[in-house]
Amino acid sequence: MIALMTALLKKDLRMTRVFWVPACFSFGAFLLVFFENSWAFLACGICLTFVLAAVPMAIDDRYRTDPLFSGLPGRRASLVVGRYVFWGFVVLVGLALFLAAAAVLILVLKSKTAHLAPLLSAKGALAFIGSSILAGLAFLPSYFRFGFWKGLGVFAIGGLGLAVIISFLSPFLVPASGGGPGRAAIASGPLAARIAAFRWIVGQADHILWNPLLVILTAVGIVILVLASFRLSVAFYDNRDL
Amino acid sequence: MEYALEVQNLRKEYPGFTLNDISFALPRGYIMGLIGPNGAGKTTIIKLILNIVRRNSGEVRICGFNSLAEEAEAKARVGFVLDEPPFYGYLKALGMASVIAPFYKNWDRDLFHRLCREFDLPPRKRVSAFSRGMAMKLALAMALSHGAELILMDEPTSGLDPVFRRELLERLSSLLQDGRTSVLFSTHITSDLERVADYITCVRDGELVFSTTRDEVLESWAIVKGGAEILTGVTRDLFKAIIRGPYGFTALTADKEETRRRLAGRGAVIERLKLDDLIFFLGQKNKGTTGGRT
Repeated sequence: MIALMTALLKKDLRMTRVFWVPACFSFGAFLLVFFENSWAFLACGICLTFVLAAVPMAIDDRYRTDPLFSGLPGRRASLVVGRYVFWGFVVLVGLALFLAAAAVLILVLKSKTAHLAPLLSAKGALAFIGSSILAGLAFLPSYFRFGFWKGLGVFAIGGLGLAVIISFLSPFLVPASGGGPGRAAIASGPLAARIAAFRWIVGQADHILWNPLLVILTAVGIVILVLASFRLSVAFYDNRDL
Repeated sequence: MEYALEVQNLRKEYPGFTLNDISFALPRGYIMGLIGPNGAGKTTIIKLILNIVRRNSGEVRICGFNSLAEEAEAKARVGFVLDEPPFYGYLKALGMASVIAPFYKNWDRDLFHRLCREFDLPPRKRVSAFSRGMAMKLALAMALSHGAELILMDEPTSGLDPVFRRELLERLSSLLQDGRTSVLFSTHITSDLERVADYITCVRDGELVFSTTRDEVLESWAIVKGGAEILTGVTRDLFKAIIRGPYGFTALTADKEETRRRLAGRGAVIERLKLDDLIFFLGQKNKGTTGGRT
């Protein structure tokens, strides 16, 4: 299993190595565009990492190589493991590029980028890793069930649906009075007010989640999600005709 | 007898097509040709053996290993060439091999390089610029570079020039000299089968027609020609497929001796079968233009 995982990782790196230099450049260029808003900056880094992790799948789809690799020694579950490992690897590379880009921007632009400083912390790194991994955990089963483009479509529609649901639920999660942005304003307000509510909720979560018990529970939850996503992917891929 | 490949009651259902109850076995050290008209299920059988498509039921054993329960062990012994070799077009031949090699414990880099030279594969050309024949050669070089005991090939000779086709067939024959390598290949080019195949498995409409030695096919099966008056309910049972013409019929029989005995003195002519005739008749039957029984 480990030999096969290594072979898959080597294969994905071999296939994508022509993209690594452009990817580094893209990280710098795109993050420079979004540096004025730390949320947009973080979201951009996560999106770029997602794209980088999905590149081998897009290439495999382009050249229809699934039959080739499923005919090679090993089980399909091993191919699924390979994808998850590669995703994890790219998240770490993406984090390194993200933090490096943030550090360079802070160093060069100084006061203009002071708001990015919190991202250069354990919390910033965890937010990046957690979001990138959650995106992978949601996308990969969809990819193994539907193939790349259709899977991406299902993932995007699912993500959009989730955003709409969160947008509608956010007024009910924000206290009617107190430190929040105000329920009435959110319920009747435009999209920006809902985003403000969402940010407020995330801010609250940021305070609460550092409780040690909740950290452990969150870690356990992520492990369960990884296992569930993996089992789902294996079940989908095992039943697919390639 | 030791078998390189055993296929038992293999079944795969698609909307509008069912591969039904396919069983055959390939002894070690022999070449088997898989024939049948277009859409008969040849590619599906090869993909089922490799687990590229999932079977509904049945069992496949490769060199004694169950292809599902012992998938890694079974596939490590297989080299394969698919109908449309799926390669990364922007890689070169050596780059493509470097992607595949880590999956095989017994990958022989020197052998692969030697095969590339023998097959005249250009080392500096991207795979996307390869002709179909060159892509087939690359797939074959990869299939032969890890000491496979069973080589599966889906239409390997289509798209190849006659010179390389003959070379390929000679190479396949030479592979068998070690007594442990076996080959299963599907083809439409029956002259290839006549040249190298020891066994022939024939499928039509997802059903197995026969799986036996080439010599038995050529000895038992025959073409029968005769006047329309010979075709009665009783004699029709002798034929696998019949083509009617204005002055009589041409038919395919699987039992030459029985046909000869029953049609003796009735003006029928029995001719030696060529494998081309076999595919032609089974293809005609596939199109529904004949009235024979199977």
